[in-house]
Amino acid sequence: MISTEIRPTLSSLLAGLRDVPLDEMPAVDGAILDGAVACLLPEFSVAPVPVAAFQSAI
Amino acid sequence: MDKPAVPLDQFVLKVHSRCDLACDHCYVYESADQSWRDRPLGMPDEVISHTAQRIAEHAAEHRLSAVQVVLHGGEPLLAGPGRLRSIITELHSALRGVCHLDLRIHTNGVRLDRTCCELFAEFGVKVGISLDGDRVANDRHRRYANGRSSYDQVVAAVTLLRTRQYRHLYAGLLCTVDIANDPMVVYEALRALEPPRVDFLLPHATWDDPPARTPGRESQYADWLIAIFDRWLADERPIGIRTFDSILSTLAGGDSATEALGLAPSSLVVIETDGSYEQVDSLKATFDGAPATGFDVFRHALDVVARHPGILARQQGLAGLCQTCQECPVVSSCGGGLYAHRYRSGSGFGHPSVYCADLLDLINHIKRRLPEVNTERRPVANRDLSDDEFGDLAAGYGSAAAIAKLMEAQHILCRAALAAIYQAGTSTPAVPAPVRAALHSAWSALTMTDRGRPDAVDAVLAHPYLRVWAVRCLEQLKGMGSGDPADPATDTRLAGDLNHLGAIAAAAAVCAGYQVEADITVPVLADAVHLPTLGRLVVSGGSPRPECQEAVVSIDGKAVSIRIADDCWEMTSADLRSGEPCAVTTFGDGGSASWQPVRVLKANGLRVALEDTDPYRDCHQWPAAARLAEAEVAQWQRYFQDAWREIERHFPAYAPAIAAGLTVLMPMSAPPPGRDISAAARHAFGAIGTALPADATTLALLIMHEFQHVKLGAILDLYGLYDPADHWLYHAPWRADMRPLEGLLQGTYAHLAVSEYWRTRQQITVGQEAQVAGERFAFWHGHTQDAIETLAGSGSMTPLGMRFVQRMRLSAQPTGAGPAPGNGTAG
Repeated sequence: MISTEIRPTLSSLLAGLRDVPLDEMPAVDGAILDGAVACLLPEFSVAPVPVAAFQSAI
Repeated sequence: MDKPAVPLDQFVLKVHSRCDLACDHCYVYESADQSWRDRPLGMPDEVISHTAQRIAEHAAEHRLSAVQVVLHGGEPLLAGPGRLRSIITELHSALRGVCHLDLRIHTNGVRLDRTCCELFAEFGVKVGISLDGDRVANDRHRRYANGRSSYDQVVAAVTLLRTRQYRHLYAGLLCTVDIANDPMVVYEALRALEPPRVDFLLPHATWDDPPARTPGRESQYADWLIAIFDRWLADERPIGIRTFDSILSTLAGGDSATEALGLAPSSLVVIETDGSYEQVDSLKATFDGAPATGFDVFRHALDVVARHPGILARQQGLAGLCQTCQECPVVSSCGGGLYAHRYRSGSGFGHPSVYCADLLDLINHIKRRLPEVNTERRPVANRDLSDDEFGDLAAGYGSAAAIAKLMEAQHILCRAALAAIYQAGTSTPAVPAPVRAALHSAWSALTMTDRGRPDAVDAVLAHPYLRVWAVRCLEQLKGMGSGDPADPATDTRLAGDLNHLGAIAAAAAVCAGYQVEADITVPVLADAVHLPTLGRLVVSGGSPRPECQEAVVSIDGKAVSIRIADDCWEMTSADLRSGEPCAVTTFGDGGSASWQPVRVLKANGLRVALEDTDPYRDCHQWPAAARLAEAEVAQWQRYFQDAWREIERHFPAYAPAIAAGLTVLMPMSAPPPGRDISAAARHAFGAIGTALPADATTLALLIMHEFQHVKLGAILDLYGLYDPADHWLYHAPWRADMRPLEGLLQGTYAHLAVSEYWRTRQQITVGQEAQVAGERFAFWHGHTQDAIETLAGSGSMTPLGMRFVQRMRLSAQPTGAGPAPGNGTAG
């Protein structure tokens, strides 16, 4: 069964980065940045920070 | 039965056990646990070294790719910059070559000054600050022991972090909720400080010591947070709010970003100033001694701590919750709330949170508003390819509008890559400190230009070989992050590559006509200083030059000076933008230099750079040519003009995409006699490499062929057309070797255009020429059709990929006949 829809792999990630000035890029959610960069280099992680972070820090 | 222990990857280091504020809501000093009274003030050397070694051995044992260490207290800045440097250095030293270290500090901010920020900038330490809102809200609790307000000092600290120099260190603000404060005032006060992220913390409470509430109002904390949530949503979520983002994420089936929500196992341990391991800090709110484990860094490995019953208890997910929570419809978002908030003396932690009613109301409210959250996202559909555009590209063609969308996606990817390089480059300890400092300067210059003249930055970032450079940097940084030890050769290569960000920043500033306040460090590669898209300054003579060199570029808006050691050359920005050779004024020891601009080929409104200067251009399958002589450029110009006329006239379905997307022709070295050479590169969107063929007609073929690869590469960046897990090799009829699926797809797509070329040539020529064209059409067309069927039958095309193949199949009709020799192009 061939899909009749175009389902972009990356577009939703790129939407989160569109129109973001360069100096605000590093503050973008790491998962979004990682997702975009993974397109260039799979498994690259900008900041592979563990999840479930300590509440008394940020 | 408990689940096995989860490796620990978050470490809270109590680097100082006292605080310079006396906040009356502090869980460290004002809660049930009073163990701080017996701790040393600071963390002694032996505790630091043992801690670092314990973390490193644990990370190595469990092959962790990253650990997060939070410098905490008390007030960690009381340790002083010297002590903090020792701690940070020790951690980096122990973890170098083991895993990535994500280092943070959480402070009350009152002692944060430039000295601290410089230290944190040197090591990429992110800074979180506690601030409860506006002055009134903050002063309600966060005061000095003498009652004096801390507000001004904290805001001054945040202001310092917001400066361009330190902005990248600013992690966010932590705000403890007090329902006596006006939620809107608190939200506005925090938002005004432009934090990347805010977290609202519910004040620590237990069933023994419940939170302050108005009698009869069981979910006042939810009301307070909901007021902010609604405003935040109306404002289109201008800042990250960890509480809300985590609930949105968990409602969508994702992870929580805080231990206070969600079912993810805790992987955190606290190390006190005396080297004791403790469970999570918030347990201090429950009973005296609650966080204790009985273990310490001197005698116990972290694997022992990970198996402590108290640590294991917070790794059980749903199974670790009480019956009430397990049956609750929002449990996957709430996760039972913060562990400490479930405590009741006599029966422990087997209860819902004391904030249960608040969490339920808040999560249900956010759940109800979820459709609005989704619709308020910026629409992307109009930026995606339409069905028609996708189909047209799949048929082998493509409109200018479709190419513009592919180019925009490439552009965003490049910006993301730049940010990633900057972030990883400045936070990876293995990157030499001078290189990190140069990265900061380059980034500052580039972002300043981006703020004022984003078009100038965009023009430089659109250069095809920028992505090639970016990937090369990312590959090296990734290697360092995974723990590969650095060596001098690696350092030299990485320094040269990372310093190229300075060249990009300089080129953007020149294009914008901007002045750059600080000097920019750029690499000297093969005796040339490169300004991407503009050209290169080739230097010779003068001071002896070591193999790895740096130049310093100063830009005052009108003039650009480039210094290498004692030599200095100056040019005007206008001359550099002109694309023409220009005068170079020499100062210093008299080394000579000449400016080699990037020359431009022109044809009927089309302008394409003839790129023979860029240091990252040699990424195709055949070596790049050296700088062309003027006579050679003239020949390229003639051929290009004629080739473009041929494409426009005879291949009108292919012309719009090429006109919209071809930005660079990269001359390649001469091939063996009788052979044509051309190639595209996966990471160089918009560029075609080719040796100058025997005639313009052949150049037209090479451009059409290679631009198919350029288009398909960009499509594959956006859409999954095949299963990347397919590692089979497939027969490509035009090659002797077997090809992976993407290679076969690329070749087939390119030969659609090659077939079209020969079919048309057969129609527009006569005699022997038409006969040869007919034979070649039959040859390529037959092979293309065979390859299309191989793709269709591979079983590894996605539904969208099958649709793509079906459009190629339709485009490849009607058929021709008769085998013929190949045309010699790569494919």
